[in-house]
Amino acid sequence: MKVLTLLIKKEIKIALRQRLIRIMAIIIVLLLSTALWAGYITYNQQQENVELAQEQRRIEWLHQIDKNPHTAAHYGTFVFKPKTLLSLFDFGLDTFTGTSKYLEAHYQHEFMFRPAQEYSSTIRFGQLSAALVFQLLIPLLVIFLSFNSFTSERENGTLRLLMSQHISYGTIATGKIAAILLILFSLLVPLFTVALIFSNNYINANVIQDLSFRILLLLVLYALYIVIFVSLSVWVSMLSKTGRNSLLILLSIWVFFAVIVPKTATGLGTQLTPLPSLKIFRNTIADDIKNGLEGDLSASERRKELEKTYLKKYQKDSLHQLPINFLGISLQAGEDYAAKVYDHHWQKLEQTIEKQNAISSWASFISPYIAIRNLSMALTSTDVNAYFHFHKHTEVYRRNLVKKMNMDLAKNSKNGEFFEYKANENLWKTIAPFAYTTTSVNRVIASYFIEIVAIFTWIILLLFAIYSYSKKIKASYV
Amino acid sequence: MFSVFKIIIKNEWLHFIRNKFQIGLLVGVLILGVAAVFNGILLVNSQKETIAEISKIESKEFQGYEDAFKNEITNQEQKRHYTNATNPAFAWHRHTYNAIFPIHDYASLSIGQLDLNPFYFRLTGMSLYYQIFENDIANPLKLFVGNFDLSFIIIYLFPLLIITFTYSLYAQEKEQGILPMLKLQTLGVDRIVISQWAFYFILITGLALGVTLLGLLCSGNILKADNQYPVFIWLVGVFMYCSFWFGVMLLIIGLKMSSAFNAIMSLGIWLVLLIVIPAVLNIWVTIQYPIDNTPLAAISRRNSMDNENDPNEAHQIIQDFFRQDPRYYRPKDSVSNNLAAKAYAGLTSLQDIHNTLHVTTYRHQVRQRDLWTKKMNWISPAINIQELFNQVGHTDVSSYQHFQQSIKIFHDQITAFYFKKLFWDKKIQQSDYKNRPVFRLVEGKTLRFYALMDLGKIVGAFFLFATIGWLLLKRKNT
Repeated sequence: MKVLTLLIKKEIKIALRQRLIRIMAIIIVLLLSTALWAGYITYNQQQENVELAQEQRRIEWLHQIDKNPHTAAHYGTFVFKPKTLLSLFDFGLDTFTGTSKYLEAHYQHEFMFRPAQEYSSTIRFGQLSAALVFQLLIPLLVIFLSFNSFTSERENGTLRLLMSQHISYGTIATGKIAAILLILFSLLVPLFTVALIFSNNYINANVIQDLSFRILLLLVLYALYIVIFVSLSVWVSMLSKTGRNSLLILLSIWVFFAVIVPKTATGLGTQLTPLPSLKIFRNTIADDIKNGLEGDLSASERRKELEKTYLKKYQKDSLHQLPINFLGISLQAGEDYAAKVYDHHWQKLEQTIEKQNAISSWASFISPYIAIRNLSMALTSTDVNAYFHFHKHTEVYRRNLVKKMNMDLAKNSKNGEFFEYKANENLWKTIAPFAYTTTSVNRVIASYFIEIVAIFTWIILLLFAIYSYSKKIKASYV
Repeated sequence: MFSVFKIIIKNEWLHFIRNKFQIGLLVGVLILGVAAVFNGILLVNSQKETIAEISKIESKEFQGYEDAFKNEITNQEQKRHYTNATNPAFAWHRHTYNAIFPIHDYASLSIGQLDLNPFYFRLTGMSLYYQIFENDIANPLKLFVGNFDLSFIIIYLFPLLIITFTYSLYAQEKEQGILPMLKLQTLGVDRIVISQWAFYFILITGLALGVTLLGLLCSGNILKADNQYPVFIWLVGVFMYCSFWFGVMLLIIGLKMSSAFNAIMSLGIWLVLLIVIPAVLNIWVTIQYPIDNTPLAAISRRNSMDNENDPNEAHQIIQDFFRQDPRYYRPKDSVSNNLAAKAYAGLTSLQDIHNTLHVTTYRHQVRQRDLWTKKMNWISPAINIQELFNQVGHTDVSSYQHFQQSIKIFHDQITAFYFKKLFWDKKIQQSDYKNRPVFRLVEGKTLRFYALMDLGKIVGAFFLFATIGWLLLKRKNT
């Protein structure tokens, strides 16, 4: 243990003496600070805009003039995607998912205004965020810290010296890994500790659930990522004859992990399972509503059935004798069927996107960067699932709004009436203001099983590789 | 002298073909390049297929209207068709047109913003802003990762190839102890190194140009008049971009440091130019030019009169509309026919007129961001060349803004076509369909001068770095 402590101290001293490492560390800290500062500013700007817009739309809904409730459902309202507090750390997909959505009767609109549309082509190079620093730049610092951890000892002849003092190869490797981890954790832990303290005491983050737990998991996630890169770098250094070779191999691996695999995996996923365009998607839905899904009746047949059911229910001969306005019932039945058709097609669409992204998920076994990127986005609620979840939430809100309006029309007016009946603020008030909270962290973790397995597989394989190589070397020295 | 050069090049060739790692890298990049070309083509083809399908749906719809004139009306369905085809009170908001962005042959080589923005819009005579903000279906993860196209291979991977092949020139000779022997040669070490550098310049730039030419040939006819300028820009751009990186490498080699230093330095520059600068610029532009799109959401609402049965309100709206747009003016007593339809048409047009300022302001803000980024392009040749490739393939922000301007003009043509009939109480005749509006993209300003300026910046940087590098190599040897 004493030897290990000495080794760790020695490694830390050597690392801190290197000018390149010091410069790189300073640059990374500066970039990290800038990213967090900029993330905070943009989070505040966007959150303020969203809150104000949501409030305005709410006032507009409540203060609309008296009108037929179905017309009110047609005018509808708007919802805006709130920013999650953790998005200031990882912007994730927020720049590429729309920010607002129009909710009205009969139609499920797509999101409007992807922030990325407001930038020049440069946006496709990426945005500076703390997550980008952790995912792309810290691994480079790890590489520079460890590429010559063994090669320099070998080139200087100190490795043989250490081993002649009965220090095992495994102990040397452990000492080197521990020293580099200590240096990097000294960057990582304070940042997340401050974030944890703030999340517990000062910040009101009502959009995101389990904030502190998420921060803690992010800390664990990035710590594991660093462990992967440190182990990989030390292992490559063990195998390489010269520092130059080790550096070249590690830099090539970094490019492969961070640039080549993510692009090719996503490109492949998109080509294998293409998405339909909105127009075709909508036309298919419209056709299915008109003709009915397989085994269902057509729109005109459904309407006749509905008429029969209601006439039988109230034991009347004609719609005009009904004590309710059949138009409202019919409109709601149309909504319900349209919702069924939409869910059927949306589920298919969601499955296609999931299939596209599954290739990326499996690519986590080729590049740990992808696993970390996906999990980081998930924990900050800026991933695809957060987008789907928000979409579903808005759809539930829309359906509830439209149903209340249609049923009010049915209950409070007579057959043949439309413009004659007007609802007022009392009805508008029954629609609760739009509020959104992300899913729980447990559900998030469950959706990224492949990535979690990939991370642990990487760690186990790398530690095993270091262990078995150490044993082999020990044997050769004996 | 020439024979000595020949020997150096021959030796370098032998050195190259014996190095399996280098050959593997070249072949790997070549395969990725070809894959990227076809991936881009597949993506654009799928968009073209959608366009064909949409155009087919539109043609079928209008053919149906024309056929309604020929068929004898024997049932309700045919009567409905005839009404839709002839009565402007229905036709103005039921007839659907498509404004389709003409995809350039070479869009597939640099997809740019093409997948981010909708490339077609379904339009009727109703409010323009109700119809143009909704996004097409897309996988946000795919948008985030970006496209695997030829521009990615050229901009990201070729510099890495150049770095890998040249970082150890001179340094390796020094580290292997060959340098003193080289110094004995009459040719001088600087010329030997330049010859080696030139060998790799020809090899890698030749490969880049080869892949580019393949992409150009597979994506379109290079002799077509519209394609000649993009072909020129692509070939010259690729040549210049590779030259720039060779210039950078000559400068680094000229510093005569160790190969490890060269590798770290060159990869550091790659990282700064391709990841750090664009990421910082994106976050900077976000803070410098904040854009709030939430007010625009409200103007995309479907809307109608407060009381559709109130003739006074309808007349008031129509008169307001005539004041704003006198092209359709009719005296008050001659607008009673189809009053509700006229009022609704007037209302949606009035809303568009009132909201144009919001939209113009929003687009101006986007343009400002784009212009600022263009001004800052000189910092990174990667951004510079990406922007250039996007410009010539019409996948940049400016091209999209031209599309949006064209949509406004097209929508105006659509409303004019129907409003002249509606407000002047005329039926739509079969012959009118021959003159129905057709979407045309408004020609934008030619950006050739700016494109050449952009290329000039890269050429300037190449000459600067290459000259300094050559002088550094030369100076220390004398």
